[in-house]
Amino acid sequence: MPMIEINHLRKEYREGNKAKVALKDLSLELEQGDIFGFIGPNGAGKTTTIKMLATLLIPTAGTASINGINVVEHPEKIRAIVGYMPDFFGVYDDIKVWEYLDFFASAYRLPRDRRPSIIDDVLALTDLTEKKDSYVESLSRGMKQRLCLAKTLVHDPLVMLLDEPASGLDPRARIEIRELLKELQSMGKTIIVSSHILPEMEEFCNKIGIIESGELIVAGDVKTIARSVRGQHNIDVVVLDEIGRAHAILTGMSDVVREVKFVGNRRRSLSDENPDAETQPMERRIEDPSAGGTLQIGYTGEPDEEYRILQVLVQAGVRVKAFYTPETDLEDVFLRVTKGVVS
Amino acid sequence: MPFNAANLIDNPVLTRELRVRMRGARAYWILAGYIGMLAVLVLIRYYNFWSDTQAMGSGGSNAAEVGHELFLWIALPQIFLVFFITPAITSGAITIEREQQTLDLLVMTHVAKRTIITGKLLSAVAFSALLIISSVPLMSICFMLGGTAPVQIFTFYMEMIAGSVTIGAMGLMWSSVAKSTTYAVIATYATLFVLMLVVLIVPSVSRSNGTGTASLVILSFEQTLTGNYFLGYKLVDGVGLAALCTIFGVLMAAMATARLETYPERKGYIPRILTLLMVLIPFTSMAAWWYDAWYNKRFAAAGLNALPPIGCMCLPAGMIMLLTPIFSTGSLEPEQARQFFRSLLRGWKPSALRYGSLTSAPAFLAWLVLASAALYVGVFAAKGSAKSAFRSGGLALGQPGQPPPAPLVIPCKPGEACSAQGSTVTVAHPDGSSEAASVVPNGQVQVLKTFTNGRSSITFMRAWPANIPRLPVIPPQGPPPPTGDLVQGIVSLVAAILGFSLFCMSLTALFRTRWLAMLAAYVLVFTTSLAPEIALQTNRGGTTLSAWINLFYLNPMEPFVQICEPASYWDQRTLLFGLTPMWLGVTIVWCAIGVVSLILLLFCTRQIARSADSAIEYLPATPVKAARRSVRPTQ
Repeated sequence: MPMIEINHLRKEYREGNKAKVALKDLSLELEQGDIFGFIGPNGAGKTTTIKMLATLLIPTAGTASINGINVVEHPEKIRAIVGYMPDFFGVYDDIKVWEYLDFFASAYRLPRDRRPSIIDDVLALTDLTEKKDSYVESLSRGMKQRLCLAKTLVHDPLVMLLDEPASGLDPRARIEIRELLKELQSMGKTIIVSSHILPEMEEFCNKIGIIESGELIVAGDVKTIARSVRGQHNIDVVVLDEIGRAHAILTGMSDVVREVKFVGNRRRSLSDENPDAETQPMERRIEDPSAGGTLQIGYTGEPDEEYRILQVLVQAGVRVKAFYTPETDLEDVFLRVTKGVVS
Repeated sequence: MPFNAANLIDNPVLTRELRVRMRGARAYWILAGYIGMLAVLVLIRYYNFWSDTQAMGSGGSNAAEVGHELFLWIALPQIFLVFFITPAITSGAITIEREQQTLDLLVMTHVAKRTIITGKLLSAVAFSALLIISSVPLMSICFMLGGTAPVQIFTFYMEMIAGSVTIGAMGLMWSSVAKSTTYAVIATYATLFVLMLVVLIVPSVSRSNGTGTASLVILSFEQTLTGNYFLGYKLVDGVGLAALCTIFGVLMAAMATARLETYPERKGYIPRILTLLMVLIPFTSMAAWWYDAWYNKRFAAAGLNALPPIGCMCLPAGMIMLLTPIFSTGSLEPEQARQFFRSLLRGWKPSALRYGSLTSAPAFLAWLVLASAALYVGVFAAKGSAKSAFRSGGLALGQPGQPPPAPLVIPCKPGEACSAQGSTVTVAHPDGSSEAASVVPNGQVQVLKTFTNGRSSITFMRAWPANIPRLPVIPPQGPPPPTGDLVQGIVSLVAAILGFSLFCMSLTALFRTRWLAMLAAYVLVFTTSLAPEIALQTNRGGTTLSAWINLFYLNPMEPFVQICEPASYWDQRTLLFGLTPMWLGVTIVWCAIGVVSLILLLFCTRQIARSADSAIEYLPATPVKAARRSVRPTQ
């Protein structure tokens, strides 16, 4: 039985007399121990989905269940097994760290005599033990995030719903959160983490889902998605000279090569690029067919047959300097699947 | 969640609030300022007393009097201070949690929603109780001087704490409803202001001015609040106030609790039931008081004209009219807009009332009216005769066994006694003789003179004699014009509420924002209740009435006022429909407004349904810098 099962979940908001769809038809299944990265631009519907799972919003249509319990029918049971951390800190003023945790421990009706030891445990887990008697507002942003996570752990939930746990944190705090999540995964918790920042998700999620405009565009484990998204898979060929001839040879292999693009006279590398520029290189016209340069081919054949292209090129006497598959990272997948809808 | 006695004591919200409340300097500054202010007042008054005693010896001033005065000097500012500090604490209690995003975390825990509300309320009351109790040492000066009974002071403290519970609960209710702390604070203080106005100022104004139905309604409300009657039973002084305060506090706290429940949109019936109780409980209490006053002739003791109990129907009429915009504005769901009339009809089904959808508002409000009427009849039934509830208007005409209408008191010269019976004005001169003047059917004035020796003479004159004061307007001859009775009054009230509810709904559909619609509706309510009254008052004695007076037809209380005072109702009013009974006028006018609103709604809802079908908007997404490419996942 999957730990989290979402079927055709939909949420509409009403603003005045206008209906706005925050989430269209989301279906998802997660097993126990999964860390699911929920990625999408702001306003894509991540928070809405998480809030519906946390029983804070009522779905317009569709069903969701956690551990086999329907979210809408038994909200109280769901609340007992779910730990929710909002995208904003959610801390009180004028209160000490241990008092904050004690408040939630008693709110979760943990036995009075067990509360101190549980508080110490979650403080140790989140590395906040020495801050036990500090006031919450004196903590740094990263510490507040960890405190909020500690609060989420007080009642030992099966499933954790973390909305943007790493937003606005410096790299060090981000790494701390990441380590913490890995530790939680090893404790067997199922975690849904949302973020609009990709690199941080790549490292600790075993599954990701990309959402845009309320639609889940892809979901699955990172590798499967990369493969399915590519469809064609890019190979960069760097030649020393005679690029015109290489282009002609490659274009002739239309059974396995869909397109051939001249992308520049130099070998492309990520560090060359302006971060604001488009990730995908622009296609250019070959001005000097005898010069060297980089060609990007869209390969559609079997993954293990790539060498045949190299073989053909080498046999034809083309001086190939490099032949490689550029790394497809999450960022690339994300940009490929999202359309960049501008409101 | 199973009931657990330990959870009652172990209230995490209360624990946290109490921990934080006295932390830092703020609470101490408030306490110091509060006590300091009271101390300065006491010192000023005590210095006056002391200097009087110095100047004139111990007999110069009555210590007991000063003691009582000192009690008032401490008590009155305290009422204001506590009633202003408590809502400041509670009106932000839930909105602040919502703003700092802790509310979601809190409601997701195992704490019962009522525990959250009780915790918030108790912590606020605890603070105001601290303020109240810290003034006890100052209060002890009153004991030194005498003049105030210990019971009086004890009652004062009890009422203060009961009052702060109610006002705290009101702040909490607004806090749970409002979107932000600012709105919650504004709403709380506005309600408090209106409440103060109603409880403190209006009764004193009405007591000094007039004996009409309106002032009696207010008087009876005040009596049930401050007097010793509650639900028609005589109790100790102050009990009525304490009981009503407590009931209202509990109801408002329950309203706040309902807003915290999981999926509050599915529990629209809870606020409705609570509203029902908030209207019906004070009404029952008032109807019982009014019944009791009528049958035990307590009006005469209060120096007032006897009016039949039907006058108390003005309270639910006014309250429901004020509640209508709240329930009849909001957003119309596209499914409801598509089949507007069907959903309006479906609103009468119990299931629709349960979910509290907008289209069920007219039905809910109409049920509220009928429930008030049922309670009114119920009070009569409980006191012995349900039948007489239905001939409440008949009671005014002095039916057998009922007190006759008291003579009208009219102004006259010193030493003379004037009275009026119907259209006859009698003047009794100091020497024992008297003159009575009345208009006879042929239009002449008949003057009956009675001399000191017992003889009398009748003369007919063309004009009213100068030495006899005349009635403002000579009432028409014969029996008073028809007024209808309880049933007709209820019919007109239902028509008014339905018409107004539809009108409010059409405003929502027109403006498309709830708050604007609500504002417009309240402007209408206040205009219709104030403008004709002002037109009438400014016209006293004159002959030309402004057209505003016809707005009386929009006031659903007027039919009941007319049933109460059938003989004198038309004295100063010249309305559009002449002597047509008010209930009929009100029904016709509101039915017309209802029909127009329905037609308007028909057009608006069609448009809403069409726009909802065509333009489903997505929530704004922040732009992603990415190439627009046609690469789609192959799934």
